Amino acid sequence: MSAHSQILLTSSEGTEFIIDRDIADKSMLLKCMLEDIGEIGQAVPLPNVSGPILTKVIEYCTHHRDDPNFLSANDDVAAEIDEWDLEYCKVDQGTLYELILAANYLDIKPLMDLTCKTVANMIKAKSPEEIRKTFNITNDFTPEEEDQVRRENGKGSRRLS
Amino acid sequence: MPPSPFSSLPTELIAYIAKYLTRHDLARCVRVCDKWEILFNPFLWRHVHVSAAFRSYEGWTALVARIHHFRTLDLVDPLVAQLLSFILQEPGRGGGGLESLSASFEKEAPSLLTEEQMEERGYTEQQKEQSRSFGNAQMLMLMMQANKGLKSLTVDESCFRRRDGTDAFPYIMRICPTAHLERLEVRFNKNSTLPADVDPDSAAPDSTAPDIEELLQTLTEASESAEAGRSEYFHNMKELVISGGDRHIDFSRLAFIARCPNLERVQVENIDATAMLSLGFSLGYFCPQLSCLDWRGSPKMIGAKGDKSISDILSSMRVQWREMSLPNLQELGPLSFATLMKHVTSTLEVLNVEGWGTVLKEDFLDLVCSAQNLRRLEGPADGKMLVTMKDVVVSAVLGYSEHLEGKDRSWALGPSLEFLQLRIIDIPRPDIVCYRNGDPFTSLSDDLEGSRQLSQSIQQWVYTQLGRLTGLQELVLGVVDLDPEELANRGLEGFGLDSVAVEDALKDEFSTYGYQCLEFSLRSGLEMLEGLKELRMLDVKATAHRIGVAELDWMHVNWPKLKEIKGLVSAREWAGDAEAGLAVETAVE
Repeated sequence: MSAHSQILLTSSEGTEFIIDRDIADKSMLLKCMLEDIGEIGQAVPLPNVSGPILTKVIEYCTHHRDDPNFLSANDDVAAEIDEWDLEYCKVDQGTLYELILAANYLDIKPLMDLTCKTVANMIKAKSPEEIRKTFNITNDFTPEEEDQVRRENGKGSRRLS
Repeated sequence: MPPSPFSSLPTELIAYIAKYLTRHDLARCVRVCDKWEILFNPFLWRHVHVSAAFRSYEGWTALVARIHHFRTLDLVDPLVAQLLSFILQEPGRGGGGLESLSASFEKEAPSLLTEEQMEERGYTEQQKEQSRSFGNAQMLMLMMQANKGLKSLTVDESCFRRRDGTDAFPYIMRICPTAHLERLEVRFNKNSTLPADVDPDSAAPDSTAPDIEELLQTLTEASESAEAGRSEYFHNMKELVISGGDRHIDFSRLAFIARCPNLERVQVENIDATAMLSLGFSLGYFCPQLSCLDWRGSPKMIGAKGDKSISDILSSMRVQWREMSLPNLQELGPLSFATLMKHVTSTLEVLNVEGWGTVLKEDFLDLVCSAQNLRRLEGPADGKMLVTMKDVVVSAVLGYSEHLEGKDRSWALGPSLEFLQLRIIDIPRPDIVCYRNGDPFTSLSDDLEGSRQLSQSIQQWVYTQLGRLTGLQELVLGVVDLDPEELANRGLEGFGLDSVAVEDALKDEFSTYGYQCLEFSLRSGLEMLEGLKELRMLDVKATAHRIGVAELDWMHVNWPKLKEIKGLVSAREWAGDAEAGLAVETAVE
């Protein structure tokens, strides 16, 4: 397979993106598709991914293009996020969720792990009130309900809040 | 534009986020809002440690309301576990999704109803009897019946007895869900609620041989019962862990093994010789797929019969082992060694032996000359060595002289080998004239001139053998650090292995350091190891090596993957070759 071959992708708005084959191969969806039907020279439509998000996804895949451990599943839950990835995830929440959806749809596991971990880090070690603030959520529990939820969910929550 | 809400994420993706959250994080998530409570509850209640904390009214209500989220349960409190097992029987509760269950109790569950309460409820005599006798064993059975999808089960003696003292284990195994079970861990005699019926010290552990015919009869019946459809095979069970058969395990307790045709790995721990033999035969007859044995603990096999016992056990498991891990077997001797060698010369890829008992130098030479498929030859890990352990010791002079006599003593170990832990001894080292502050060192040969030549030839012969190990990644030459506890017992804590004090204290019983070993110097023929391109780690800390600046440079060039050399500096000083000694010091600096 030539490393120089290029693939045409169309985002949901119809914007065209030309990317190198090895970048496309970071997505298991595209990789399998290209292996199954071959490179037919036509654009691959991605109706679930918008142009700005696709740009962001391509940025990620390009940065990690020569990463030898890209696909060796990193299931280490405690592993630190490296600096570039950390910077990459400094986007608004809406974009972050769309990135999760795109990573899930395109089947790019490392990006999925990174974005989900970023969301998890926004939750970690915060009180319910702080979480509400972070995610702009209104507390719709009545005081009685809130009390009940607190009591029902173990000593841990009581002790730590 | 307000940011799109978190809840725009599809529910199935929440799992990817939840896996990074701790229990405490999850407990706070469910308190955020209504929606989040629904989203995160399944993850918070996935794994529940069923302790006495759930005895309170609130705790219990919360537990019961979340039954449908349970995937992993650790049953610890007998009362809560018992109530839970009843609830699970109720139709429409939505429980039954357990994948993993472990049960271990400190005591038998209390009777739920008093005589008066049973009277009030109008129990029949049979119901009363059932209620009176209901204990941990029945609770476990109810749990299993309600969870047919179990993949992993961990149980111990605290749920194997009925209240009347009869053994419920065979029955528990008969009703254990078979369809998905992959791993079973059984701990006999742990948390036993009954007093031991025999004093363990009074029964000589290896005095009785099990009646193999009777054993096979019991197991064949179990197998036939499965064949006839009266019970089921554990088709998916790959891993079995059995521990604590302090003495003879009743044959009826082993019957389930006949229904595990696809077992691949077995781990046994603290099982005596008699029980081990029964187990060996059972596994040998009914589990043709077995390939990994992990035998742990300290089997009490002593005296002249020990060697025979070990040999019998090793030959009872008539399978093609790929991996074998044996504990410190002090009676491992000629008989058992010969049996072990049958495995070594055929299919064995990984061999890990903590202690080689009374095996002789000649035998070890046979081992390295016939172990052709080995990937790893391992001994005890750093810090786990005991004085009673013995590792693989290869006598270089023995191999070399037999080679001179025309016998083929080439090592069979080859490119497939990745990890090698052994001591190479009996190399004349005339360069070590005296050692440790001038204490005289007894040399192998009186003729030092001749020895220099001999030393050279013998080392080169060894390098030739080592040079063929082109896949080798780690080479550990010699004894590893002693167990800190053992050092403490001997008042030697705080000393490293490479310590003259430790060596002195143990010199009569155990050798922590080898003087007559490979030099690893260029003048002795280090270049012959040029092909070891995969080498990542070299451990020479238990040897009187002569690695200096030139050697380090050579290694840097020729072993591109080498990351670590353990034991470059030594606490010992030897005269006679000050030049080399200085070189090492310079190199290290």
